[in-house]
Amino acid sequence: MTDRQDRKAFFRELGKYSALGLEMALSVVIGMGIGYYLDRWLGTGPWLTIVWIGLGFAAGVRSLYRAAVRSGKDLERDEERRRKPGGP
Amino acid sequence: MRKAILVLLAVAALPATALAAGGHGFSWFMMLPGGERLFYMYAAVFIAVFLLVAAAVVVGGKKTEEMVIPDPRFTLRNLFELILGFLQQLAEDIIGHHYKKYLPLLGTCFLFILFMNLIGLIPGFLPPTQKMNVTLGLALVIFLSTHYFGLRENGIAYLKHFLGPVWWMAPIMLPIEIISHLARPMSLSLRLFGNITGDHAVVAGFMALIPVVVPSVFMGLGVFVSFMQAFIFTVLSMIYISGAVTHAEEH
Repeated sequence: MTDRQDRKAFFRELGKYSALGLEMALSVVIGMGIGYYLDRWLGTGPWLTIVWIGLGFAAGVRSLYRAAVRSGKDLERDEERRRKPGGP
Repeated sequence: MRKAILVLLAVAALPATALAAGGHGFSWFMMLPGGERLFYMYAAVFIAVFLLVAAAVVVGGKKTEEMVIPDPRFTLRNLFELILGFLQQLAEDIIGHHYKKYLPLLGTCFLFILFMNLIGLIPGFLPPTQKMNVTLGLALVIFLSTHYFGLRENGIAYLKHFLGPVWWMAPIMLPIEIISHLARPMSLSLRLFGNITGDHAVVAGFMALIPVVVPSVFMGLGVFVSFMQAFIFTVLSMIYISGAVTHAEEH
């Protein structure tokens, strides 16, 4: 693993994780928005808002999980490439 | 002699800084018809035309064989080749071996956003990315093309991954996936918009306080932020596209 590749991996991970916080927060906000407008449309009290906030939170956790799985896979591949003799 | 030049420079520079400090929110594009509301659209179109002209100048009717040999000095063409070479390596790393299909979109996005950010550092211009309209439009292009690429590569099977891994969880997973996919263009556009607005506000604030040396430090920071935001936007687009395209192979 050269210095250049290290830097590339660093930038990749940086981009990925800088996305996560905003994405998690916005998931909850979008869920709340959908629930609020469904409530106004159907007239079903606060219930759909509450349910969709929960779904939004689950969506945030889902994107966190996806990023974690992807990051693990990428790091594993980098490790493998490093161990290979004569690799880059 | 030297002192005289310095004084002259200061006198010449003062109106410019005063204009930039007092007239925060002034752009030359406001002079154009309808410019009061549409100045950022004019600026975006100006950047697009600038990129087209730059491309025409760089290629300039040369043949492909002539383009193989790089220019000896640091020219416009070498700058573009440097940027695109870096993006190409990154795309190969993230998307995989068939990255070349997506590189035109990603490279255009990077250059367009980069120059839209950088024009804000020139006094008398405002960055178009300071408006949510522009950034949301860019993010929607990425959002729609991501799903188009996914459908084109995987067919109907692409829609199946919205339903989650187990069939009885599909009614719960569908809204969750829809929310998490809707959060992507929102976060892309909000990040770009917020960073550029914040950076511009910092420069304007220090310009109003001490209009001599201090703002240049924050303008240097502005160059860094411009590059970083264009880069992050492109890398995230690459990650989203690769997630949509390679899904069938992974499972």
